[in-house]
Amino acid sequence: MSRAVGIDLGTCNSVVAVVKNGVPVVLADAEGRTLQPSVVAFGYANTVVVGHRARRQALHAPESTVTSAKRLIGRRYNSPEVLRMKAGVGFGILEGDDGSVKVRAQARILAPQEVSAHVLVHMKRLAEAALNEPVTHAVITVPAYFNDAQRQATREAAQLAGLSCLRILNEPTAAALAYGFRKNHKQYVVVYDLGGGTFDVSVLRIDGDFYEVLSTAGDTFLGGDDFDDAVAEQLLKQFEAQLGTSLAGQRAVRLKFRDAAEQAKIALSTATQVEVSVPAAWRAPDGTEHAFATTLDRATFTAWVMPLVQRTFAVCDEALRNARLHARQIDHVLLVGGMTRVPVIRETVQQYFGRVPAEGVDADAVVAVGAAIQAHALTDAHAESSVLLDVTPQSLGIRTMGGFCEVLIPRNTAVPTDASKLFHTAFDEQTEVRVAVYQGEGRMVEENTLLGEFVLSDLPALPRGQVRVRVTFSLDADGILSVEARDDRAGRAHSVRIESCASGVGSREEVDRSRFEDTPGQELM
Amino acid sequence: MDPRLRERIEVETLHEVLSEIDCYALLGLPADAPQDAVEGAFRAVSRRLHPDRLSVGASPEFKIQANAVFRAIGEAHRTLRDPETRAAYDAERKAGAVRLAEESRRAVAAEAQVRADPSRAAKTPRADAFWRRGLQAFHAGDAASAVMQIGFAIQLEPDNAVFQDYLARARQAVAERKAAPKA
Repeated sequence: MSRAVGIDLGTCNSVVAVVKNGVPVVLADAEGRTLQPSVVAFGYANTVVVGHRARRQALHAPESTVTSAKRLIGRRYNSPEVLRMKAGVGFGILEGDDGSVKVRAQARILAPQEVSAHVLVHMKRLAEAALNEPVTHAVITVPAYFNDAQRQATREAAQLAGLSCLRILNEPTAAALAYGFRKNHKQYVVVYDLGGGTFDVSVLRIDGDFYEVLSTAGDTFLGGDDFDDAVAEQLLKQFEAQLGTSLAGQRAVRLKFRDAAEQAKIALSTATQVEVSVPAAWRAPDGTEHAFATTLDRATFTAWVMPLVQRTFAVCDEALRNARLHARQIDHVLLVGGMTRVPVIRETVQQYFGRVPAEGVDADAVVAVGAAIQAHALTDAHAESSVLLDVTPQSLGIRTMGGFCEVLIPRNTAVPTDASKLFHTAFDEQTEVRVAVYQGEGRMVEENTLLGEFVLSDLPALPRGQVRVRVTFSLDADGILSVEARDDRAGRAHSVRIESCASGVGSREEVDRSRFEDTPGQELM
Repeated sequence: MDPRLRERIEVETLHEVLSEIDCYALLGLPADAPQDAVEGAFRAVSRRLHPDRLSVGASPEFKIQANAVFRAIGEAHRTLRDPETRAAYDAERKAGAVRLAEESRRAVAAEAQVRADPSRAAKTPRADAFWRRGLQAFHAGDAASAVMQIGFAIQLEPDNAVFQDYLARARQAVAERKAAPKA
């Protein structure tokens, strides 16, 4: 008998959990660590190292170590987020043939989902070692605000890792599931999930074993990484002022400051003041080594990150408005993600909602635990299973005349769901209709993300308007879209496959499965 | 013994006649049910028939059926929980429809959206440009300019009721200003 686990595939860290004898357990490696860095280091001779060992490598060999692959997964190369990230990392970010993102590390070029697959293999092996039995199935969590392409790419990563993905579950929903497990709550809950790279807010109504997501909102490019960047930026400015020279474009210096900023941020969660030091921060052209040292207090840190903190509450406003609730109607606030240990976050959340965030929730493990509970419910017929109704975070629509985006499935619609639209030919003897699918809230298609395009072809050559084709969009419980088109008159089904624009892995054959199985030198538990 | 055999049989039976069962019957509600009964009915039926609860160890065919049934239940919920879509559905149901037509659902949603945000009222990009400027002028208190811009928008979309409404209000504002004694 094999096990189904829950995996929180995070931007910075990943966690795996399982329900064993009815009790959720977070699994640890041989050293007792549950949090595993989502870092993949590539060495010579095709060796791959994942987790803590890879993280150590990241500092000496940033060019062969891939971090935060989750920020790239399912994105187009020329999106602002990817271009922004490119400037701040040591490994290479390239454009694939089809406009997808590729990463380059140690002369290897991979799609982001291949990097994530390495992390998943690492988590799978950790679980197998801890449970002493094979692990074949998993529920994998993603930020609620992930779009279709990002979800599909995550599913691909699971496939590459040899895991059968039972469900793509939204992180805040997983957290709520873990929070409400066997508690018989009847309340409105907000999940404030600030992770390493993404921010999500979900508003849920929990009624015993019934979990209904009322709304979700988020920013897939706002997380702990950005806080570190903001602090590093300020520290660098101080350093530049001391040196009297500009360090713009000096990537190695930047990376050192980011690391120092992250450490300072963590220390300031408990201390009110920390010493920040970056030894050998910069080697001047004349060969002199310059070190940087300063004292940073919590108030200064808070001031530096305040613009980012405020952005999270703009997202909270939106989520509450869409749920038609006020902050004061919320019974409980769950803080999820390592970033929520930062005092300014706890304080501002408390002010905003007028209540103390729920205690007893392990911000790091709660998502994996929720995923494990769902994995158990989906594989054990005798499990006490809850009903989980999640929603789609962003509207799905198509391009219409004039570049408007016509919404077929509005955001915050419960999944699974479907919607259809009747298309007419616009010209005489038109035998093709091109349909472009977008996700987002903008009125014009340019403001939204293109998910893909398809062509309805072989239509009968008739006068315009006489050919009618009904196109049906189906969103499954994972939030992944499929499209079907049916000729209204002939009753003939057109097979439509929406090619995800951001896939980047290409055809199945292109991907050498064996690379993920037993890479020589891959860290074993 | 399958702990959820009864529910599975219920799903299979429902699936066979799904296209004939209306939204009220799917949620187990009478057609004159009060609005606040909808949520509870939806929760009760979801607890019993949600595919996640019934699909463990089931055949692929059953999973497809259970999903189809639950999509229909979800659609019934979306139709009935909102008084406006419910009213649109009731009208179509009287004419013999089993479900609310997708086009009607979108029309109701679009109306609600325009009510919440009149800046989305234009249906064509050219009218949209004039409309946005007209609306801006209207809110800035520049009624004369609003009359002109909205007038242009109406030439492009003569049937747009929101345009007509705002044009009337802008014209009235101009008239009131003329009537007011100059200070």
